[in-house]
Amino acid sequence: MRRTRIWALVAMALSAAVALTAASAAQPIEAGEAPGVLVSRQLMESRALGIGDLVRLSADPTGGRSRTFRILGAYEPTPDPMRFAQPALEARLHLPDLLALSGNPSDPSASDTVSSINVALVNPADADAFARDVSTRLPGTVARPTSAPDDRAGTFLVIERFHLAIASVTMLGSAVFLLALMMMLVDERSDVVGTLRLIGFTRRRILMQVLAEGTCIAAVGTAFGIGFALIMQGAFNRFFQWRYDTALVFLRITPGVVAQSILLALPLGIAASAIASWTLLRRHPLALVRR
Amino acid sequence: MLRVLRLAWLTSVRQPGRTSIGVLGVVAVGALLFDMLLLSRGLVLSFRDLLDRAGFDVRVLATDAAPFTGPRIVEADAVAAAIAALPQVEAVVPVSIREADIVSETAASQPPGRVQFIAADPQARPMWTLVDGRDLSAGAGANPPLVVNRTVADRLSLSPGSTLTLRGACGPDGSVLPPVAFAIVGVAGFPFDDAAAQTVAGRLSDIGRLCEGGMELGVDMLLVRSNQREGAGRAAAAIQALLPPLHVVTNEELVERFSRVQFSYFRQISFVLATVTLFFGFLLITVLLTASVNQRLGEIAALRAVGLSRTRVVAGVLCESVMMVGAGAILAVPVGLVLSVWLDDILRALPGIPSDVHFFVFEGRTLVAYTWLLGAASVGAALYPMRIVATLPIAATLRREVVG
Amino acid sequence: MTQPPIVEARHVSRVFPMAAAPVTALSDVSIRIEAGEYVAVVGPSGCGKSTLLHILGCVDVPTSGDVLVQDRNVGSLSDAERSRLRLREIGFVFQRFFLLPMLTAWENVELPQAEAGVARLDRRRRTAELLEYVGLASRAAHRPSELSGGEMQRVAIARALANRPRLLLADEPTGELDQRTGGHIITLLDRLHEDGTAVVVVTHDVAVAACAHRLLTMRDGQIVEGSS
Repeated sequence: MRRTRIWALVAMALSAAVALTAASAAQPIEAGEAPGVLVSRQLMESRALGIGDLVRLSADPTGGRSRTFRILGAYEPTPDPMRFAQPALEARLHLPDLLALSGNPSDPSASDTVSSINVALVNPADADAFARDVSTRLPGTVARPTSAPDDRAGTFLVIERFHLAIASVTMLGSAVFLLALMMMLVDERSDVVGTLRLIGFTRRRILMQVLAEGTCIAAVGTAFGIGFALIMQGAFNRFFQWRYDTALVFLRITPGVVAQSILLALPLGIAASAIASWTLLRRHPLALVRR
Repeated sequence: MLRVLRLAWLTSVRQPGRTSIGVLGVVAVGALLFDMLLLSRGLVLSFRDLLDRAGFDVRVLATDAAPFTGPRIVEADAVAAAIAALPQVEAVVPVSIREADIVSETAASQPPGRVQFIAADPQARPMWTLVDGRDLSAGAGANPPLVVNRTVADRLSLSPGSTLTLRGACGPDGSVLPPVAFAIVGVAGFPFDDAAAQTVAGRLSDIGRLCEGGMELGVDMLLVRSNQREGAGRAAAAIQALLPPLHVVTNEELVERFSRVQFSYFRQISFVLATVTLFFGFLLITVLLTASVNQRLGEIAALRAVGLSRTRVVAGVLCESVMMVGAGAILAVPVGLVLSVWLDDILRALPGIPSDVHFFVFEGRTLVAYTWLLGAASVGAALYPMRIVATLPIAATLRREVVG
Repeated sequence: MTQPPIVEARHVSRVFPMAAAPVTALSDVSIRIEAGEYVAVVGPSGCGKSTLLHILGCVDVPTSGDVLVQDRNVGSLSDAERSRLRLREIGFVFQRFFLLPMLTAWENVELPQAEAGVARLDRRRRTAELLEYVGLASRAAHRPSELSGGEMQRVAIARALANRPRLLLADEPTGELDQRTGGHIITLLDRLHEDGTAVVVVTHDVAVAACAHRLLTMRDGQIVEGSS
């Protein structure tokens, strides 16, 4: 919560600051020894800023207590799936500069206050023990391994569950589609099947042949589907990255997803061809030929 | 027309297996499409309903930052009085939100927790719905009054008459503040609470007891109810003209902003899935109809030879498509509604989602859009088989059928 | 004043474009079918008999030459007009019957009448009369799958006669039937002719050809024997 607020504050401050810069275009900004700041690509583009430009930043919406910074570079913000729809208007300041900008001047400890401290452990496997140790030694401090679940993880778990539910319904629809296709495929050759039965082919023999064909079709279909998904992955990602001006990857087809698709599609295809052919094979051969 | 329909019907039921599968496919596709249409506007509708239910249609903030994340409005009493004096405004309620830790609990075994403390004017119409006890305006004797939500009441076994001690979590840089004992006067439902939210409400004047500085630090938001004759838009414009530095937003604007930014994911996913689903349904019907038509080419050619016009046989194929899609579409609505309840339950488990917010909300226009989309899909799906029938060479087909 | 022929083909040719080379099915064929005539067209397979029948029945158009149905040039008619012509003036009987399997015998016979806009009561009367005529009154409620080959062909003939056409075209009407059943169909065609309908039948069946008053023999897309 606090972290979110701080980011919001910085974002808000930057919006205000840039607005101030624009407003004071006629008033030259005194450069002096302006500290450096990195500005997100999106902010650079949206406000037509350039490297070397001087900007005035303030944590106060009225523009009070503003400070002048020089843009040293632009960066691509780390994509945040929780905020992908919001434009990444942000900047990176040196910590002392940010504290000087946002801290309460009447609070002597303001320059020594941070929202969080990132710790890199010698042995990352000790993260849980280390977090417990810190929490015991420093009451009131929240220490948490970066791998620990938080609200964000909860959000993605729910979204994943939602996607799974949607995928289940889609699968059901696909299964029906597949069954319809296979039924038609088999049905169209009912006279051939009837003839084969009449000349002495057993049901089992024909069923095996249909199953072999079904397996081939399912395999080709699965391969085509995966290929199509891979192409669509690029198209989707490009579209949404353009739409939201972010480097976030929206769609990623992992080997696990591919394996899942194969494990679902192949048996489904084979089952569909078995069901479809059985509906034909249980009929009398003469009825098939006579149609 | 009736004859065309009857023949189309008889043709459809002639192959019950295939038709059933087609209808079943449309049911699956239709249900998903229906749900995606519900999802595309559900959150917006639900959010708007939630905002409207609070009884205020304009919100005044210090900046355009999200509510409760940005700077506060200072000298709130004076600002509220100035706004209230506008003829377009009926009422103004300053609201602040702070966090507080639970200090004393009746259930000792429970771990300490944190609550969200909503501070508002006790004389104004509350933004919560009282379910037990009294409201803040009634007062509570020695201790300041407090209304708690059901989660807090149940978790701490509180009821009107109990006492709850809170310690403000709003000191500068995390410093520890003195605890404050509150008298529970009522239990209420808060519109923006999620299932796990622990929310309490107290008087605005008591925020000073909980947090250092209190009202001097300003309020987070002013809730404004516009004069019914003027409407929210005019009230917002008048407030903005009166106090240009403040950010004034109507419920409509807030909904639009949320719809554009926060709810964007669901709009996008509903659009993508609706498109894919529709394409899928289109493909299914095209394939089924094409196969059906291909199997009946001889029959169709013979019908043409005995004098049935091209329009007549083409209309028959179109009717078959519309019938199959129509039957599936009708069955898909109840299936979609059941499915939407399931999907809604899944999504409402998202952290921070108010309990009263729904992702899938039914409205009349959803049904209209659904009918149009599936209608278009049924016509689109029939185009190719219709073309086959329309361009069918009668003599060649009859010859082929005899040779075949 | 002499009556115009029911259908007349003048110097008709029909060429089918094929991948390997175009195939000439009809080559400069001329023929007149007068009212009440009974014509049989015979010849080896692939000589153009069915193509000629299709052209006379307005379901196909010649590559060159003219077809006139009651003095109206078919080439100048739209598809809808040709459909109407077939519906009211020409009856078709096919080797493979082509009855609608989901309709009963009654409904199959009623279908062209309904399409022609015949009133319900007249439709009923005519359908009953036709089924009686072909000897299937008792099988009216049966679907094609419940009928024998001969019965199906009789229903097909009843359907062809539904709108009282002046010309009946039959393409191998006994081709799928045994000799005895085929005999019934021949008798029926004979009766039809006696009742005043012009009949053109394409056949390999000597018995059918023997009943006709005019016999045309075709070979390689041309009428080589018999007066056209």
